[in-house]
Amino acid sequence: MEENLKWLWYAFSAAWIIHILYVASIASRAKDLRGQIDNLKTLLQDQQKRSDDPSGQGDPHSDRPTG
Amino acid sequence: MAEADSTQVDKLTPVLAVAGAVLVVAALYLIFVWVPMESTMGVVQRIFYFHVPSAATSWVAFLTGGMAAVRYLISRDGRLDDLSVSCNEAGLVFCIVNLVTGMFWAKPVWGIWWAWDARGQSALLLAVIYVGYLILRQSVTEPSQRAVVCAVVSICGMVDIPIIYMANRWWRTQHPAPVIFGGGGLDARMGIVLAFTTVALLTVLWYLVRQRRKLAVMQREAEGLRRMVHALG
Repeated sequence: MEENLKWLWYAFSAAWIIHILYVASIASRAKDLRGQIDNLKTLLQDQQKRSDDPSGQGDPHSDRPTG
Repeated sequence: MAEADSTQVDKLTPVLAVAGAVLVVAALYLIFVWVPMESTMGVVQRIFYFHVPSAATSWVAFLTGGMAAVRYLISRDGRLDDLSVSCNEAGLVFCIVNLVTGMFWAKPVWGIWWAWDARGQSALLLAVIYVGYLILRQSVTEPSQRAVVCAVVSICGMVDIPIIYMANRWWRTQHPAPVIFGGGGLDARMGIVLAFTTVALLTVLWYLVRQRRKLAVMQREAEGLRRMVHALG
């Protein structure tokens, strides 16, 4: 009985660990993507500013990378 | 339309999370307290109430993913590709849970971790197909080409599901004769717990698919922005 209970415990623990790891992986990937999207939006804004600026110097007060 | 979709996700996803958690807790109560003990295998038979619903949930996910893939090939709507990948990835999680719980059940009952019988092999093949599907998604970089190739794999993957279901009818397997829809004598209370746990896991699946779909939408947004940056740069 006790021996069998051990296997039941292992099976249910493994099932929930797999589910929790998957939810954590979704959350982690979402966080990474949010960061990437923010960076890309910033980069795009800077590129647009540079293309709108006839002198081609960009915004001299901006501390963001222009490349 | 995309705006309306994201608003809908935000409203329903927390409700599904709470409903899934409540149903799973209730299912655990039924499994460990309410359902009668099986006379031959004893307490370890209770793995059945998680092993079988996990398989059923993965099949629902793969079939939904496959149907979305068919519709994607007809309409070329990127949101259907998002749905397909979300269902297939979440389905793979349930498929792995099914395989792992099966191994923990097989060890004390059959004395071995894995029986190379038709049902076990076809279930393992299903997992391998969808692992391959996810690897393929990572390796093809062009979004529309990736969606088409993966849609084809997703549709092919569905073919394995009826084979798994029929395996213990078509071949002699280590798995027992069918107890559901096969004339086997399953106790009424056991049937209720099995059905309840399946509903609980389907709710969890729905939640996971919606969460994964958000990620797919973000991935498409990032790919679009990357293309714009390249075009301007």
